Amino acid sequence: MSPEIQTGNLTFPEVSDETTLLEVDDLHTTFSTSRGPLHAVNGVSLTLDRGETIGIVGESGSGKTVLTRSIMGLVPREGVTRTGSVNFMGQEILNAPDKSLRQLWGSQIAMVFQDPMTSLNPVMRIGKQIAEPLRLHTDMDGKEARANALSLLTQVGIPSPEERLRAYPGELSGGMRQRVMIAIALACAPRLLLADEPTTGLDVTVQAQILDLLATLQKDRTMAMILVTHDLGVVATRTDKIIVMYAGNVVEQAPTATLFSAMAMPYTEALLGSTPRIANPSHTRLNAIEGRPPDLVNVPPGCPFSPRCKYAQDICHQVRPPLVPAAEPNHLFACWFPLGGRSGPHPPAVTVGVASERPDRPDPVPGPAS
Amino acid sequence: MTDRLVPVEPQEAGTTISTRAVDADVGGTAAALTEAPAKKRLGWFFWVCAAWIALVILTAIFAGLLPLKDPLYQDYSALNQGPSGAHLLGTDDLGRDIFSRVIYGARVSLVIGFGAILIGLAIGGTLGIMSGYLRGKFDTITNSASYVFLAYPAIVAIIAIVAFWGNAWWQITLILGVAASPILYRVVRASTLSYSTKEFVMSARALGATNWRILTKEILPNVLPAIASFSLIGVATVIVLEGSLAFLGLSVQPPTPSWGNMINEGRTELTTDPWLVLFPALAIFFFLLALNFVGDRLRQHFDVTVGRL
Repeated sequence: MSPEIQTGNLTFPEVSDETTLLEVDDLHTTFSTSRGPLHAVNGVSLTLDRGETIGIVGESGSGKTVLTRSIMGLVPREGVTRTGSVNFMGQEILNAPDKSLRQLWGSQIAMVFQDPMTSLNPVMRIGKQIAEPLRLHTDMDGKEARANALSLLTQVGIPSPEERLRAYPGELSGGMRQRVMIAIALACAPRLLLADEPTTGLDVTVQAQILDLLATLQKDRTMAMILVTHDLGVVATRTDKIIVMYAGNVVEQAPTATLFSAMAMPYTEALLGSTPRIANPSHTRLNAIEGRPPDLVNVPPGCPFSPRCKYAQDICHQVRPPLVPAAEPNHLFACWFPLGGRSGPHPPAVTVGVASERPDRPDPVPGPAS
Repeated sequence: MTDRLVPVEPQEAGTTISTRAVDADVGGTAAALTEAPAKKRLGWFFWVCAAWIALVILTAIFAGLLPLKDPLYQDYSALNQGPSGAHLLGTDDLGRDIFSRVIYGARVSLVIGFGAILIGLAIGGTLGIMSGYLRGKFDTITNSASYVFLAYPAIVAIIAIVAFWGNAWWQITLILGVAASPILYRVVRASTLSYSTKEFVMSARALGATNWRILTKEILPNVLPAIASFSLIGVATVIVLEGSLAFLGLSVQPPTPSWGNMINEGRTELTTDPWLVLFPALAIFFFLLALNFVGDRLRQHFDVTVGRL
């Protein structure tokens, strides 16, 4: 299998810490469906340095998973169009052929999937599944790969790893399987880890352990990570930047501390408001966001969140707000009437008068202490 | 590194033990993990069936070495006799020994049964797994073709081809194999389709595995148990089909015995000497019963996807 590595036409020189690892520019992913084009990712741009963590937050169906898969190139070739640019370590990989991407997948970019119950091959022993990428991407022989698999299992905190090597996935609990998934993803020491809701399928007690484990391993390896989740609480303490997505669009993007201290987008506020709080008395109703995300085939004009936004006004339903910089550095948002009385983008002249009629609003919900 | 992870161990260890063995102490130590999981038992009936299949196959192979009467020898002093010491299962209307004919007949039935399914798997199975994984145009074409084949009444086509082409044992095997392939194609394709969309296939792709590797290492091992068990049932079906052809006088020609043509030859005597039909029919019945049971049990036994609770 080692000839695989040489056949590709991409080369990856060792990079210094300052180099930007991943640069995504105006990425669009469109699925052609029988009802027309479905815009799952609509012009997302982001940069990620070595060892940095970006959190991508949004509801189900907001395009988070498609975004990570589009970055990686793991989308079907037929019926999907991707435009824009994905630059990984100085190479354009957006429409690179599978053959060249294969040397990247697993060795430079790895992914941890959402459901640990289905993301391991049920009829292959754990040890073999961890050794597979090692055999594929390095010239290790079976014995070395096995020894490596053992040390990886130890690193991800699996008790009696020697025996686990011979176990089948069906003999492990969900938390254990997710640890194994992480061990597989980290086997070839990738520079970028895409973790697509890595804790959604797990018990709350195990969730924290898995996230802490990811953080520890990430620090040890100066590995960059994109952490996809629908839980703002998860990303609050574990990321450097946060991107909030809604209906395939970036609606707010900021360094983590800035986002929680100077939240501008009502959707971000609503997301945070729907997190259960330990301080609330028992049986407090959760603040759900009313309504559903829009149909991505027929996105209404205007701000996609406007039908559900409690601050929405006429213009919000008619003209889509652009993503504009806020006062804080690196803080972008897309809202005509941002939270906290800050100035938004200038609404088109036709409806300028509406802005002054904006009702007073409460301050944004304070973020959890970080 | 390891020190930081230590605090999580007791909790995780507890979870694992509880999923592995019901009687294990949830707060148990790592020592509890070393206990071998309870062995799955196949049950006595499985062994009876397996022994029966082995016996039939072995006697069929070594029939020439066994002290059997010549299956073609016609003893005109003992026509249509019931079971006795001299003829264990009696004799037919030409005075041939039914016991030795049943054993020699197994040769034809087994070769055609297993041979046809192997050919069917080679054609239908290969196309099925490719079409289920690759999808696209290839899938559309092969899938439609399989429907066209299945829409045509197989037995009529088989009769026509056998009548036109010939009925040597290898011709029958080939024709039945081709006839079985659309069904095997559908089973393999359906199974492949369901596994192709599983996350572990995506995960293998995300680790840089090639299509060939995904097909052979991720999908095939998962699809195999279902195919193997279905194939054993398929063997049974083909043996019956060969019997039907023989009954119509279209399979391997007399005097060579097969289970099917023995029933065919005996049917005229059914009212007076029912054992002429009974014994080959019982041979088919018990062999198929054993095949089905063993196939099903083996599938359960090697199913590692279910946790050993």
